[in-house]
Amino acid sequence: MHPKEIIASFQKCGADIKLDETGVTVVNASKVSELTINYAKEYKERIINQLKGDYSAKKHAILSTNDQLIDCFLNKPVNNPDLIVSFLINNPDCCELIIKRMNLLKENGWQYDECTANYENEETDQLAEQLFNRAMAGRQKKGA
Amino acid sequence: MSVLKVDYSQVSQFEDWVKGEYEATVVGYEMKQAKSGSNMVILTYEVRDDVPQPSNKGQKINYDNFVVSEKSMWRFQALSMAVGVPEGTDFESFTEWAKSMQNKQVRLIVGLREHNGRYYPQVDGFKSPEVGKPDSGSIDIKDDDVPF
Repeated sequence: MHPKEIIASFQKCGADIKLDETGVTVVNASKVSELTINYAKEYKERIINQLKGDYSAKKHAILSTNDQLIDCFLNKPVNNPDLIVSFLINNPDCCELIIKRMNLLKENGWQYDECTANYENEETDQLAEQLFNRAMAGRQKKGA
Repeated sequence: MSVLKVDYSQVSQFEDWVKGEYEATVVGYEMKQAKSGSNMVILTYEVRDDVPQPSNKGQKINYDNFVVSEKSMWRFQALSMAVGVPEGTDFESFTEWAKSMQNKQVRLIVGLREHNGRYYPQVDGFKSPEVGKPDSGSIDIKDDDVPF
């Protein structure tokens, strides 16, 4: 989910997520459910980047594409599963890159049942961009 | 070790309130009982910081009381109309009404009330907003921008 959507869902309930010295803070937290707060916590780093203005549409496209690739690996529901499987079958080296990225995320403390947002770093971001570019290239080739 | 770093930019938080019309967002509510025993909705507004304002951009206007009594019902109606609630809309409770006001844009007619020598903003009336909504969080990613 785009961090903008998470922030908007808090605002709809009369709460808000704001930057503070320690990262972010929730204003009027009692107006949102614990479940919603826990969900937002998983996306904390992306929310911080969004509030700082550092989360571009391109960045979201890259990270959400990689979220889908990992979800597909973990047998979780994804959009357009056939397209993803076809991409993986035709690009086995990309499967290796996904596994490499997942290992790096694991080393940073990521658990399989949570979003990777709080465990990403420069190295995982580079791999994410590489995978995104490969997937886009494959799509363009198909569309040509 | 320093315990205070002087920062002139923080002085603006003490800016005096000026009477006038403010573009604001409803950002909070509380349900309480008035001294009279009547139920009361207390709304909080935030003065928008993305449009010109008479003073205090980004600051909160707290404690706007909507007392549930016959003679104060006009305030519920006035705010509902100003934020664009369709005529005839039914609310099952005042809590439901307060919730539905959240995140709504409104133009507040603000006067001042004096308390212990200081002046605080007081909401005297409501108008429909005269400027568009701030960035509502629309996401500019098309299907062509992602591979799957």
